[in-house]
Amino acid sequence: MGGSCFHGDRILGSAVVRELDITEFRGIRRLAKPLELSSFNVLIGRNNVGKTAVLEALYMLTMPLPHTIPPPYGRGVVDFIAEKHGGSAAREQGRKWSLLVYGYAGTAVLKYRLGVKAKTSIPTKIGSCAEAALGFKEVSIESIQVEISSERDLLRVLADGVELESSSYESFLASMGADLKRSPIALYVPNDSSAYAQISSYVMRDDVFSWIEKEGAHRRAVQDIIAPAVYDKFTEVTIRRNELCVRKEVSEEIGPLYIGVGSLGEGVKRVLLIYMLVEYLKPKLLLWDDLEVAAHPSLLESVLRWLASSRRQVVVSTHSIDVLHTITVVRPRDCRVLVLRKSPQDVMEYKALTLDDIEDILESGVDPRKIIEELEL
Amino acid sequence: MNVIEGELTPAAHAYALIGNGRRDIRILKAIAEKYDHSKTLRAPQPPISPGTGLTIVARSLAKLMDQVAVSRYLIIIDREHAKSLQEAEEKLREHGVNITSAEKLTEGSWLLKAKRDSRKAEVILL
Repeated sequence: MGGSCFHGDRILGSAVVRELDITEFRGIRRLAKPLELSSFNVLIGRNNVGKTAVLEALYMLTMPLPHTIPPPYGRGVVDFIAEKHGGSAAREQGRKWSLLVYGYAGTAVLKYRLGVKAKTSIPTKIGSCAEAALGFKEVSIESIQVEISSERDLLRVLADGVELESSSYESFLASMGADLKRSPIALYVPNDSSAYAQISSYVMRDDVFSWIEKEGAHRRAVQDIIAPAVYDKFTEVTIRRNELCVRKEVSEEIGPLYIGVGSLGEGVKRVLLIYMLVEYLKPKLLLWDDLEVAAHPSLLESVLRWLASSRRQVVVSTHSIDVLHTITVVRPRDCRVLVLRKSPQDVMEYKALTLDDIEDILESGVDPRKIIEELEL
Repeated sequence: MNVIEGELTPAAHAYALIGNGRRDIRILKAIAEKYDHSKTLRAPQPPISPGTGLTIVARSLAKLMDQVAVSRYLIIIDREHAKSLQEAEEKLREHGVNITSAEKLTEGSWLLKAKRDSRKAEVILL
């Protein structure tokens, strides 16, 4: 087992979310059937079909209730997603989360069927009415439901039908080995350069980078992931003059150079930052939008090998045939490609293809991205 | 007729499987321009095809018959790859596609009725 596995975690090797159902969330009015998730999932489909919405819906599981801020983006999950979609302006108009609701009115409902055993403590009255005392009852949880109401700007979280408060939700997260401050259940990596700036700031925090150095993730990031895909001889990531840099060996005469991460190619920069962040936060569920952005197929292979070597649940979206081809080479365990399609009525439907299906399709001289409209679901 | 290589249309009426490469797609597009544009013919091949010839086309047809709700196919292949109808039938059969009837359209072109398991398709081979 590599360094990226969850040693000692309770959900080692399991999918956090087995099934996701979405109603009235962002551009999705509903799903034709709940989305079944494997350990490693690749979402493909046309632009605006709802790939990002699916990733965001899964990210909500980190902490849907406000006032708690998980790392690394410095704001609550719902605010983070809403602001990505212009929520700041909506907030000024008193419609804080309405942009997350289909048609900007009504209630979005997200239902998660968990793939692991979880539990929580819920407040309960003990004793008869007259002398009732408040105690806590431990209950097991199989599903979570999140409701976002645009009109009342209200968020509700239910576990198997019972409404949870923040403390009960945190207790549920803890039962899955997650910790909102240090190890959130899910990490979402959007295709958004401002998010990468936030990740960079987070990684450079003293406590975070000290851990990264101590655990050797600053070396593994370049030696295991980046080096096989570039010509440069990078040796490690370091901080110099308050800037995140990579150390580069050129020759004995020249000596090492320290290159600011911002000066690196976009693909290398993104992968470096995400690698260190993921190694530090150890999310149980990694959600990565447009995985292929700025990455040469060699870097994609390196990244996919790393993702496949960890035993966390992974959901990535892509438009790239290189990603589809590479997963047939890397062959992550329990991997499926979810081909997404949307009706004119905004009902999302999907077909799950196995790696063997994708390999057969590619070997048959057919581009899987080009048969989505005619695929039999 | 529209010949589409990507996905810039809704569902296609038929698929074009080209056994020879990009030049034939360009010719097919030019021919299709002369007809009305009410039907869409999609060429679902990847940007870089894994090969040419009858084998790859037969493999494509078999896979597509399994996966998609399209039952009309146009196969364009050089004579050097399929010297006779029998040769084409044999290659298709190797990939689990059986020809139940063949109607000669013109010299070197046929309308085939094909079956793979319970799936049926009409294939124009030229």
